[in-house]
Amino acid sequence: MNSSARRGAGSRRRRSWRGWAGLAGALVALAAPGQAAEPRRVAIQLTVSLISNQPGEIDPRGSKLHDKLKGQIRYKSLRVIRAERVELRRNEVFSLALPDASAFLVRPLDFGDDGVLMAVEVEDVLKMDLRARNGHVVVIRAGSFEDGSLVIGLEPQY
Amino acid sequence: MRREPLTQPGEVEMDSKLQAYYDGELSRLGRWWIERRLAASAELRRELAALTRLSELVRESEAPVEDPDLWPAIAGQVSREAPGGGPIRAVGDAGSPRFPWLAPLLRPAGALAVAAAAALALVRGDAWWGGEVRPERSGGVVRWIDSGSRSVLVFEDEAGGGATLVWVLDSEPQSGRPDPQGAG
Repeated sequence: MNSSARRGAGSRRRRSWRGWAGLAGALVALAAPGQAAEPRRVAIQLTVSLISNQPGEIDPRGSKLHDKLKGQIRYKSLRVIRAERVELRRNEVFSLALPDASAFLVRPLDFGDDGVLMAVEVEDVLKMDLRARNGHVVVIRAGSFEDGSLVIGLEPQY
Repeated sequence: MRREPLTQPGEVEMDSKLQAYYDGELSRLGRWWIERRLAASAELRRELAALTRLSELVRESEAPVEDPDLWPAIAGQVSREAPGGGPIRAVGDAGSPRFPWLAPLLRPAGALAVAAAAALALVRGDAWWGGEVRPERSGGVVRWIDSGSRSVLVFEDEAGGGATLVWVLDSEPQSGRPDPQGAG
């Protein structure tokens, strides 16, 4: 076999290999169509805290909440009970048990240029729809607890 | 009672694909894949129809409506309650000073927009005990709120990163003077 014949055979093998690779790629794409574009998610930072008029310290984990509250609400101590960052898809419900045995639920409804529309519920206390931009902190007083007030901080991060 | 997520793990994957299909986020192959399943499954078609209705409801709830503008009638009243003198606008449920002990809650704050709205309450002549309230829609954070028999103050601070305080008052005012501090 001369050299040009060998080159021809090699070229055919390469074309054949490319064909199989293309077919395999198409099959993989068909098998996992959702991976072409991941559904959008939004991260929400949740902070459950107790603010009280009893003298005490400001929990460093609640410093951002404290920055938002200190000029508006009077209290002498702030204790973070739970802090959690969750990532949610549209219409996905996240529930968080509150220390007073009720529950806090949040569900993103819509992502838009003007923020994330969320349905929020503090069980047996209130339900509301909020639209908040990235970094906007929403603080909800969920009621009295122990010697102070239970407050929930909610901040979309995207 | 805790509420569980509304879907099971196996359903979540299909739901998210259906959502992505509805949002136009899928590739051509992904659309083809979903459309094949839509053609074969009446249940999936019903889910897509429900998704469409839900999105339409969200859009309708966000659409501007011609509510009577009650704010001019109450602006003067509320500004007396906001010693900071900052921008004031109505976004939530609150109202006339039926509980003067609440005034200390509202500390002077230059950029604080005191959201002491009372549209519904003023119409009824009952400034505080309102259940469901549809606040002003133009750009506010709180779009809808239902607190049952509880009163809620909504403060919006547009300074810095921005913050919104939704302050639910305890359902029954205690006898005598309630603690005005906000923390108890």
